Amino acid sequence: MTIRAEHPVIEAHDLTVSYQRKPALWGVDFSLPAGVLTGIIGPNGAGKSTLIKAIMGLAHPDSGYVRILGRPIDEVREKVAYVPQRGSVDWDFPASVLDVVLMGRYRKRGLLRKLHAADKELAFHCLEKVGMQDFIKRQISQLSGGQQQRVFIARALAQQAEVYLMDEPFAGIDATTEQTIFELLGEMRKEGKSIVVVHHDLQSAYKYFDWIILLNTQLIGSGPKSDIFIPEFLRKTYGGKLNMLTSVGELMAELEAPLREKN
Amino acid sequence: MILLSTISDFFSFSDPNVLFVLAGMVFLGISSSTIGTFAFLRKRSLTGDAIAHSVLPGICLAFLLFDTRNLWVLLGGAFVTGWLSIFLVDIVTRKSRIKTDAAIGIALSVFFGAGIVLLTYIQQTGNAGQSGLNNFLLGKAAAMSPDDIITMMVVSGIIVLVVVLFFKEFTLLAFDPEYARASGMPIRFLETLLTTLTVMAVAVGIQAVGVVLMAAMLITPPAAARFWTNNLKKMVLLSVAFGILGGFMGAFISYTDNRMPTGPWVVTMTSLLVLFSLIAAPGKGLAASWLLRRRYGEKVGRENTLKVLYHLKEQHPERQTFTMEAMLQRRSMDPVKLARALRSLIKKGMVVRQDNGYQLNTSGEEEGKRIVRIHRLWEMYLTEKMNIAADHVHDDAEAIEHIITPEMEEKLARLLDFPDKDPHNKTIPW
Repeated sequence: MTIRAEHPVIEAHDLTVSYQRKPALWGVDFSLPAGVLTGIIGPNGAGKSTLIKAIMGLAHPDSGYVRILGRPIDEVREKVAYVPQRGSVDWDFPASVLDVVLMGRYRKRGLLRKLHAADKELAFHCLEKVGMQDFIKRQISQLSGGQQQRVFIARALAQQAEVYLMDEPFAGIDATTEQTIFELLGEMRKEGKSIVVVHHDLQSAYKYFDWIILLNTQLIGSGPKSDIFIPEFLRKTYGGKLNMLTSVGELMAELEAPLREKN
Repeated sequence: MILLSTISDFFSFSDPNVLFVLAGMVFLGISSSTIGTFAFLRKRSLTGDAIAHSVLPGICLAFLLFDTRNLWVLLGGAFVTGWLSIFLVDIVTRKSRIKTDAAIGIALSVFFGAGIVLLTYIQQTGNAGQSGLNNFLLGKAAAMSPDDIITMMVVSGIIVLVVVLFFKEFTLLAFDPEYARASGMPIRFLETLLTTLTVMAVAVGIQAVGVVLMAAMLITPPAAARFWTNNLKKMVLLSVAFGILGGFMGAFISYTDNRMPTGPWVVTMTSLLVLFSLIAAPGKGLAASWLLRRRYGEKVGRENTLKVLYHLKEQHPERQTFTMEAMLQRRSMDPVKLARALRSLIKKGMVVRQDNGYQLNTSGEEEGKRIVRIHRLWEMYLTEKMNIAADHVHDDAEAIEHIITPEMEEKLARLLDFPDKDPHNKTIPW
């Protein structure tokens, strides 16, 4: 079931994305209203991260397209901030917490330009928001998992974007940090920001999100949580793989010819 | 004596050639270490190796085509094949199932093989010796002409300029390329730029170090520098310093004996710098962590000795002194380590040596009591709060008693409401 939003901040049209020809997302079609906290929920291998990456233009769709604020992602990148999975980088990199948060300002300052004192001030405020202001000079290799996650969120905040896309920000962090981050997301929503979060815990999902996308390669449902978070859809999402889809997907992986014609 | 006079000869620059060589090593250090730092952090060190080996056919072709040893011409050839190899690696990885490491290996050997074939051909024409082309294989710093030095200076100047201008972009590309792409940075352009700079650094360095070992000039200085700092700017500067230092030492050795090729010596020296850093660097070095382990071991030894003395006194309240034999009977310990711990405790004024054994001082008794207290508190905590059986908690407490801080001890005591007895019904001393 897909409930459409009126002036959507993000819309995906028949999005199909595959890795080595095996579809990770199949015909995903939804739209999200502005100023809500959206959770993308689904089992392992459901394509949640792929969906975030497709929205960010980091994974290339075989077919379909995404619009953010009504435009292709490349035209609105400044208004969209991305929080990758913290495991996607090597934290043994010669940088301090401040250095990483300042990376959120690089694009604003543009190529070849230096950062200003104002950027550092902003970075400090962003670290304050995630409760990491005391760690500003800390070497990033010495951070715990939850602290790494908060640094990544602070870096996204430093972009001062309108739309935030976060890939598993709650993976492997303690309950207190989870609470802190959810409170922060609530405040951001109050300021009118739109936030999309890949999440795997059903209990906290219902508690915190306004809008839910249920995903298992296919879109199972998208809409306000009260409409989507019902046993029928949850069973569909988690009740084993969708058999037909899986076997056809495997067939496609074996196919030697291109899946679709290039447009 | 001979060595000293050679050193003074070398560094007084009485031989103008030496000055050229040293200047060449400075520019080599600047260009290869700067760009090498980013290759190292991006985990692309092998790419540098592929480029280094792949410039050889380019140099030979340029020589055959234009019949000149002019460095700019040869560099042009080097540039073309160096770039081509990386381009091919990229295509092969994207279009086939061959993974990056295999693709790099293939490109490296194919291009280097072609280079050797061409070099052999040139040598057979009897031209290679006077052209000095074979010096490109293992490097000959002494063969560099003033014109070559100027070329190296210009190229390293370009590299430094570009790296300074794009420093924050290169940093982000190295740390988190996906985020860089997501925030709209021209990733393709930046990667191409970095590869181009790497090819340039390799091309100017091969005369001094040779194609075979050039990659080490990209990798070893940053690898050594990484041990000493956690700041990227400092790391770049330090790796340049290491590159230059290694270059000087290698050039000096090859100066003392004219038959010595420069490259292997320079690379041996920079590798020694890596080894030295691996051992001696503060914090991350092997020596530092060995020292840390040793100090901790000594602390544990002392604390266990105090504990044994305290236990013995608990057992025999009427006695004041205990022999080493009694201690060893109470707890199995290495006698040598026990003797060392006792010496150290006497020095610290916690234990006094008497005629018939060892006696705890007031401070020693306090400390022994503290260790025993923590041990028994921890056993209580494990049985009471963690539901672990009483006969399973001793070993854990043996380790934990040495690391619990006074603050944690207080918390623990309050959590357990200051118990009198431990799970084995022994008194917890307060």
